[in-house]
Amino acid sequence: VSYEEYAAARLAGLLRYAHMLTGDPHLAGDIVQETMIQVQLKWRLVNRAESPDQYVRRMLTRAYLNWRRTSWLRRTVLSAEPVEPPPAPDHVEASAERDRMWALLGTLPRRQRAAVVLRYYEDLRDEEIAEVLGCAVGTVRAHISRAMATLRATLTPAPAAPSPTVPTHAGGGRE
Amino acid sequence: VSIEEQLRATFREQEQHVPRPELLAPRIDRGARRLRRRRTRQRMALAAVALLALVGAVPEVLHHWPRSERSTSAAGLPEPAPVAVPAGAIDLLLVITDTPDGATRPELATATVIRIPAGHSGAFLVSVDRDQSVATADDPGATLASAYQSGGGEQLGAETAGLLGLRGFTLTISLSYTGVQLLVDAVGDVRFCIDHTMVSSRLTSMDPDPVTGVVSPGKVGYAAGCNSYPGADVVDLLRERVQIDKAVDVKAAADKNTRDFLIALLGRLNQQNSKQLGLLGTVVAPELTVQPKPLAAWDWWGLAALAGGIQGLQYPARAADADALRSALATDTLAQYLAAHPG
Repeated sequence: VSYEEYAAARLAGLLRYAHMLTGDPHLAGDIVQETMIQVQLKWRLVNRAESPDQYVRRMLTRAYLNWRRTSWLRRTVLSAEPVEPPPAPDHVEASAERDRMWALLGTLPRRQRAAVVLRYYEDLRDEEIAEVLGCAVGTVRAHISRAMATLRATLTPAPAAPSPTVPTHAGGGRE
Repeated sequence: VSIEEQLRATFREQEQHVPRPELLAPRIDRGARRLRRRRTRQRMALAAVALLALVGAVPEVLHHWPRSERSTSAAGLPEPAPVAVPAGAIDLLLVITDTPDGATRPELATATVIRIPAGHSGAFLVSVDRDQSVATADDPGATLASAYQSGGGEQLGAETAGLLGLRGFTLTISLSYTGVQLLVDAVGDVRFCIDHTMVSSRLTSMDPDPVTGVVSPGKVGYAAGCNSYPGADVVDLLRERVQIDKAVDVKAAADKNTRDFLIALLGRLNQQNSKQLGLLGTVVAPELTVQPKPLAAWDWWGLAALAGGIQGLQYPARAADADALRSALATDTLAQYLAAHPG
C-alpha cells in the first residue's frame, strides 16, 4: 500500500477520530495534518508496522495528548471562541442531552477522553486501547471508569440536589 | 437510555461537524514538502559543519572575530590579516524575509538599519516601516516592500538609503524567518519584552485552562511582558500583525517587537564564544545572504553585538520628525535625537 492509497482510504476516518478527541473541527484538522505529515515522511516505517492503522492512531493520539502542552508558559488563551457556532437550540430533549454530553466530554482530562473515544467511538478492545495510550489495561479501565462516573454524576443529578452547572467549551478561556 | 448509548449517539451526531478530508490533503502534502526541504537544509548544514570541523576550517572562518578569546587554527594555518574596520559611522541594513505559503519568492518582512556611530562605542537599530512610500513619478505606489519584490536587497538598500539620506550600506544582511528560527534555537531561547498582547493568527490552543481545567478551543497569543521565546514562537510572534489593543499602531508595535528581539539576539550572540559563533554562522548560512561579501558578515554582527548598549528607534511617521532623524543620521548624532524624541 502506498502512502497516497492509505491517505485516500483513511484520512476521513482519522479526521472523525480526531474530532471526537479534540471536540473542535479546526484543531482536529491541525492534529491530523501534523500527524499525517510525519506519517508521509516515515511511510516506510509505518507501512512495515504490524497494523499501520493502529500505528497511525497511536501517533495521532500522542499528538493530541501532547498538543501545546509545553506552551502554556509562553502562550496564553486570549479568548475562548469556538470556531463554529454551536448548533441552534434543539427542542428535542434527546438532542439537548447529546449537547450536554458533548460539552461534558470537553471537561474530561485528555487521557480519560481518549479512552472513552477509543472504546465508544472506535470500538476498540481494552488491550488495543492500552496499546494506543501506551499504558496498562488496568489503567485504561480506570480511565474509562472515572470518565463514566463523572459523566453519570453530572448527567443524572441527585434528586434533592440542585442541577450542577455544565461548563461549556466557550466558557473556559482566559482573557 | 444508558450513558454508553448516549455517548455513541453523541459521537454519531458529531460526525456531521467533521472537516472534509479533501481540504486537508493538500495542506499535508505542502507541510511534508516544507519539512523535507527544511530537513535537507539542516542535513546539509550539519554536513558542512562536520566538514569544516574536520579540516580545521572553523577557526579560519572566524579569524576576524574581534574578541580576545579568538580561536586559533587547529590545523596550524597562519592567521590572515583582520578586516580593516572603516573609520567613522557604519551603516548596515538588516532585512528579514518571509516566504508565505504559496509564494514563490521571499517577501520583505522587516527592514532595520543598524547605525554604528563613529568611535564604534554603541549601536542604534532604526526600524523602517516596510510600507513606507518611496514613490517616484514612474511608480507612485512604490513602497520599500515593493522595491524589495522588484529588485531584491540591492534595490531595497538603495531606496532605504535614499529615504534616510544615507550614502549607502556597508553591508546588506538578509535573513529568512527560517534562519531566525534556526539562529534562536541554536543559541537557546531569546528573552525580550513585548509592550502589547499579540494574537496569533496561526495557532490555536486546546490546553485545559489551568484554573478550571476546561479545554477551550480559542485564540492563542503572546501576552504583553517579558518572556523567553524559542525559535518557532519568535517567528510566529514577529510575523504577527494582530493585537488586542486596537488603539495602538500595529505596524509600529510589530516593528518594535522585531527591534527588541534583534537587540536581545545580538546580546545572545555576544555571549557565544568564537567557535560557537562559527558553527552558528554555518548552520544559518543557507538562510543568510550578505552583500557584497559573505564571510565578513559575522565580523559586523560581532561589532554591533560588542558595541556597548544598543538602542532602538522607529523611523517616524511624522514628516518633521523624519527630517530630524535624517539630520541626526547625517551628523551622526542619534544619541541626541533619541534624547529629544523619547519613546
